Amino acid sequence: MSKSTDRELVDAARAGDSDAFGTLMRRHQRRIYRVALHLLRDAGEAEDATQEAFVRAYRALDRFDGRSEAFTWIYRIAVNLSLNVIRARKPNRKAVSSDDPRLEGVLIETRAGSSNPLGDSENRELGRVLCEGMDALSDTLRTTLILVGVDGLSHAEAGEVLGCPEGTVAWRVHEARKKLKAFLVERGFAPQGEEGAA
Amino acid sequence: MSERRSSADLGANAEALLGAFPIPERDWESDARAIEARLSKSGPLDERLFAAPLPAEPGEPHSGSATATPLTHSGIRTQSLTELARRSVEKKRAEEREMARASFAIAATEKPSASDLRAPTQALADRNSAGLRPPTPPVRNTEQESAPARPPQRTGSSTWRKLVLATPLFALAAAALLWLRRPAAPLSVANDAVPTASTSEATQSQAVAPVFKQVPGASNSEPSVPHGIDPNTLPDEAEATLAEAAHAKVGGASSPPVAGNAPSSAAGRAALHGQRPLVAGPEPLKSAENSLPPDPALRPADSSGGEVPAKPSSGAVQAALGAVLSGARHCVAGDDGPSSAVVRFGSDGRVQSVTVSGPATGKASGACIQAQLTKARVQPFAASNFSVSATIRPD
Repeated sequence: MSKSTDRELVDAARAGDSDAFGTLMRRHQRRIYRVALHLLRDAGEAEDATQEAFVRAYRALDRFDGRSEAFTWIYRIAVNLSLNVIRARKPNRKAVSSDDPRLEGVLIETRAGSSNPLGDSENRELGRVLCEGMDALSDTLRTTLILVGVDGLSHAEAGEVLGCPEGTVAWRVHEARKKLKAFLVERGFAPQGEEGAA
Repeated sequence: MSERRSSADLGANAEALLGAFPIPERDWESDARAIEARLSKSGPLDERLFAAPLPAEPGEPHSGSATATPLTHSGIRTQSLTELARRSVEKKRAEEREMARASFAIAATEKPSASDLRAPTQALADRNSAGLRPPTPPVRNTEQESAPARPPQRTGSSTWRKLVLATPLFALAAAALLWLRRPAAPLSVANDAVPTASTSEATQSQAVAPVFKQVPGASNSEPSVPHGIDPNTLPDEAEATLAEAAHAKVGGASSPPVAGNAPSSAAGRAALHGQRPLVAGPEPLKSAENSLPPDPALRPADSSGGEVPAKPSSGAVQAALGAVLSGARHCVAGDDGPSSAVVRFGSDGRVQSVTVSGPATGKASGACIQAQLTKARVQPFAASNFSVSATIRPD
């Protein structure tokens, strides 16, 4: 069953095979959580959003028309759930705090290979500024950048998730990266070779 | 990495961090079990969860065009030539449709006066007044013509009426499209319009016109300096235009259309086709000027009549030199590089001297250039003389 395609798993789940959906869920659970975490910046909310996304997807399996990939369909549900949470709480949270779960990941990563403490510190600072820069983007640009830049979806896949053409995804990614670059340069993280220009 | 890509390049470290943003590991299996435990429970479905999640970003390209246009990975738009061509054609067609509609509207206002349409439409009006149908205007637009939902019992008469009304409209539309599709008239005069035999005053003043390719009125479009003429040495256009404006006041309608003072393009084209201008505009200049050749190089020196401008207009100079430059280019066909010539016009509009420099100096080609450029003529002007330089490149 583990080698089945997403489409086959969905078909099996539609036919009443709950294990098939479990396989599908385990296949994409981590990535969905990562997207939710970057969107929500809260581990608990990201976990809830991930759970809810799979549960809603399972209930709505009959609605899946097969024109897109199953995982992009579940991504869309997860993104919508995450944005609902963000809209509900938007005025309350702005700044990146020290316990930001995204930074926690960076800290763990650098601690594991801490041969260069100075480099680790710089990397953490870069991660913090990067998170701040992403948070400064609009929901539209941030979500698109997370899907493509962080999660590694192709433009076509991100277009399926967001319900827009590939060209629009590409434009948003480019815009987001431009703004992120300007944010980084402002804070002294100019790309190599452009320090003078910054 | 290309320069275009670098505009959004975050740098190696930031790119690496962004592309592989780590997340704290979790007990994924327990999470999965927790989800599975909830799957058996039923619950409401929120339709909004399946909709496209985000609004468009301000400044975002339109969805349609974005879909049609491939983009590179960095988001830079790379339009294919096919796409550019398609858009260009669509734009041109849209413009033509607009122009055709405008022509229809103009034609519709003039249509009641057409005697060939009056009879059938009058007959129809008589039938309508007899209770068959409420009277309809004799001319309708295309949307009305193509509108369906005609009552079945009216099919025969309405088809006949449509045919009668549509035929001249289509003829007008076709004429308008032909007129629109007609390529712009060339600015320079064809070489075969330049006489190669005698340059004597008697011959020129006779104004025996050979076959000209230049379209009357074409010289009023944006003045384009003929290839080889140094525009910096041309007389100031504004100054010349002022002088010509004063000249036109004195000369009135019979003043010749010197370069830059010709009738408007629409009127000129309509006149060319023997039509009335479609758009109200200045009356085309006519009468005496029609007897003059349009090539300034062939006009008699005193053909402008009345007061003379301080300097000839740059358009006149360009036209005069443009007419003879192609002949001069033949002279340097075998030369290594371009030669320069300073042409000095006298106040009578004739060439006083031609000074050739460059590879053609002292050669037969230099003399040939002098002979060709000496044929140039401009209108008389008040100043004692003026010079203009031209570059003659081998063909």
